[in-house]
Amino acid sequence: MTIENYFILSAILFCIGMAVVITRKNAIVVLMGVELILNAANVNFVAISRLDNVQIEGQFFSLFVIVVAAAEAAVALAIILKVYKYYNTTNLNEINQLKG
Amino acid sequence: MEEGLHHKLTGINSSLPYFLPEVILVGGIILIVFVGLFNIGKKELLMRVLAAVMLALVLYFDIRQWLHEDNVRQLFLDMVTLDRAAILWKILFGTGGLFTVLMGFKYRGWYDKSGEYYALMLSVVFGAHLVAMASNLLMIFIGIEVISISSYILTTFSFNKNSTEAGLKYLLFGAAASGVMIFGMSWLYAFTGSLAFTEQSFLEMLMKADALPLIIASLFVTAGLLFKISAAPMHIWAPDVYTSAPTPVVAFFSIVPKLAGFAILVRWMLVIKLFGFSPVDWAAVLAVVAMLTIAIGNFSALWQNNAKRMLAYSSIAHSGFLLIGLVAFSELAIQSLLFYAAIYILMNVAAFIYVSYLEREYNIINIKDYKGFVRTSPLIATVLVVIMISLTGLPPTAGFTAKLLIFSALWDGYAATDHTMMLYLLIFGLLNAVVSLFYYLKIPYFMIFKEGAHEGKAKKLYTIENFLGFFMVLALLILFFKPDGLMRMINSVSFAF
Repeated sequence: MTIENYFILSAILFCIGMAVVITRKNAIVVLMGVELILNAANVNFVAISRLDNVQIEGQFFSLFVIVVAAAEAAVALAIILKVYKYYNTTNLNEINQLKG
Repeated sequence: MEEGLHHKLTGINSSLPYFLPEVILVGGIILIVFVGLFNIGKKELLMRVLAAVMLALVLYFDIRQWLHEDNVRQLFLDMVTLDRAAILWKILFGTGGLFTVLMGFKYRGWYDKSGEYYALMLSVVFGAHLVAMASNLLMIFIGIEVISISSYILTTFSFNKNSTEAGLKYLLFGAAASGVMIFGMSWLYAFTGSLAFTEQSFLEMLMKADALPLIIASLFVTAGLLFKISAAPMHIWAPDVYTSAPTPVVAFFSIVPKLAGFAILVRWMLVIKLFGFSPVDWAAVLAVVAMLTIAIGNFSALWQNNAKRMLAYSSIAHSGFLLIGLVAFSELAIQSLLFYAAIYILMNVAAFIYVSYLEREYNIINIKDYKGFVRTSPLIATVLVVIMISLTGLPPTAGFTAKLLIFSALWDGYAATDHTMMLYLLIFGLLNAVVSLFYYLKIPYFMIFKEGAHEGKAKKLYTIENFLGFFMVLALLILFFKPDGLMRMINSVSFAF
């Protein structure tokens, strides 16, 4: 498998993630889209890191991304839970008390 | 193998003494979270004192670094770089953090949450410290995320419907922005095979990269950083967050995370401009962003009735003015940016201190509630007038000096490069400074020239907040007449141009 395949995979993942973030109305699904974007970056980092056997910086970067994504998801779910308590929905179109 | 490991461990060990402020911050976070577990009387006061002491210590060690470190140091196996510019930014963050911690956490029903509140404040300051010193893409990412995740939680600290909604919006936008940013970083890693973005080899590899992917990747990363400073196309989260978060948090957001964004953008622009060989015309891109930011901030602020909301939009406009320094991008421009940042901290915190003070003591929320306030408390009214004049950028306040410096740096940049966008930005910025006059001076106008119902019930003046505010206003006035001390400090910072 050449490295180009990984790049194509990561580009596809990024596009799907971006599409989900932009089009979906459910807060949790949007979060899943963000997760896809982060993993697109991870695929890139790990793939490139293969060319560089000494430093493997890319692999470390993706490890950190995974950790940070977990932290972000924890905070996000806590906030979504709170929002659900007030609004009884996670639909972003209906959560619109504040006007810009 | 063992030799390499030994080398790395000694590298980490020998870096620790230069990392003292950050170590104290982490210790402070742990201490505050731990003490916060216990149910003690006067908890809020105790937490505030603890946080203030920690930040004062951090500030002390930052200043010590400023006095004793004259050369650039690579720490932690080149993950972070400690140079004069970074130390100066760190001092600014420490000061901003200390000011906001002193403002306190005034939600009486939620005093049991004050431990978490101050711990999160310290962690934002910690993230800002990391970002200011970052010389590795991984470090930028971690620093930005430490700031962001703590900010998401701080946004919800009003504990009501609006603030959770604002928190959710901020989080979704922020997560998407940082996702895009690290995707861009992964491409940069693909071009260069290295994450150490300040190294010469990184630049050389970038110059060899193809134009189109390089443009996309660098725009992605820059967009992620611009999100943090609430620059125009990425500013949508800011008004919601600024209106519904607690006032001290808003004051904090408009200073520390924003200036952290500027600290890293300065370093980032040095790299991504590729000594002028970049396929993107960054001066033009940033000039457009700056114009949009100033315009959106100013014109939205014009229509606001709520004083806090007005200040929120005005702080978006101020990011636009700070961006001017990045557009001009010369040694002088970056120095003026630092000067503007220092003054901005003083005047913005002072403005928020008094807005929240008046909201709490006199129940003044909307701008028209300020009617006749000068007869209630002439002293506070005068102080507010000075702050508003300074925010507008008129003499005799330091706000004027800051705007003058940044605009003259832009003019110099235009004279040197003949870039028409800079001229447009200069004209546009000056016109907008006039527009901002209308909304800033609305408060003094209502206070002095309108009759109001606030006759004679002055509240006590001797609070920490008031002392802090008076001190800052005094500093604003003194820095107009004698800016040379601060200027000398900033001039001693050299940037690698």
